[in-house]
Amino acid sequence: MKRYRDKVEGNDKGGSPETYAAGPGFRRVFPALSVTLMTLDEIKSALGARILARAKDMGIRVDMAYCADLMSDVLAFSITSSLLITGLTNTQVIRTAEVADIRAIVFVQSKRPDVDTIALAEEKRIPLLVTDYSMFDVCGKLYEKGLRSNAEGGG
Amino acid sequence: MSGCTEGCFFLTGKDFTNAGAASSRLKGLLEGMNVQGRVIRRAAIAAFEAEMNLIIYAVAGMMKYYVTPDKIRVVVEDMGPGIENIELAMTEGYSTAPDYIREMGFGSGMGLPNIKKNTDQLKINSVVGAGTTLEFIIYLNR
Repeated sequence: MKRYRDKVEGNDKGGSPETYAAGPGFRRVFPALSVTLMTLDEIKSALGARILARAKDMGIRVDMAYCADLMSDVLAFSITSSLLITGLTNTQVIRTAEVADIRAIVFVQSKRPDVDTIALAEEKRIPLLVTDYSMFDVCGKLYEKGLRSNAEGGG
Repeated sequence: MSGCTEGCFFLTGKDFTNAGAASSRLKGLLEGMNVQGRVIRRAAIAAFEAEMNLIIYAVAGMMKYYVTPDKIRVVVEDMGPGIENIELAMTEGYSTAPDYIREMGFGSGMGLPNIKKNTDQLKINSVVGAGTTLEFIIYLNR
């Protein structure tokens, strides 16, 4: 069987979602463990977002999202390969993302980070997106698409 | 996981531009040594929180690391104000950080609890008015 992890990590390019352990079939049987993957391109169009720091491959996927303005919360509760939704735009956000293995960052409410922050993100290869929507709306839109928080505390 | 290594980073208080750079380099180093991803993340998070604490509160200090085939040991020593009540500082949500630190997304009283959560052993020695030494160990094969 194909490994779900390969899909998350982008090692596996083809195949229908049903073939994965965590695909729709699996989801019907175990709704609580359902997993939806979104590519950066899908997130970008769902949020009408602009790209500030580009990933080489905009097809890379995230399987979880976490939203916070407290970086210590991100370090404590987010999980690997998540999308981070935040209103903070300083360089510490990028450092936090790197340390916590965050895959990509969405800045809400048109908050643009300064050039140093963007440069650091490019150096660390963390794609950055900015959207006009508020944090609540960003979370709502992505939740509607099927993206979930990490399992800790419900998900 | 292969080999042993040790080293040291010097840190300057209030240098927020480079805050996190030492932990980031430690993370890269562990990745190069083929340490398990889950362990790297724990070590990087603990080191980052300790580094931020030093930069927020102390004048200067250093982060020493020792990696052996069975464990990662990190010692963060600073010249800072010291911690008056360590037990209180370990309480989630307790913080003495000023507002400008909170605006950066830190100082929410989660730093030390976060370090404890991600490490196997944590020791803190502090002398008020002199400085703090924080030491943690993460075992590689558990």
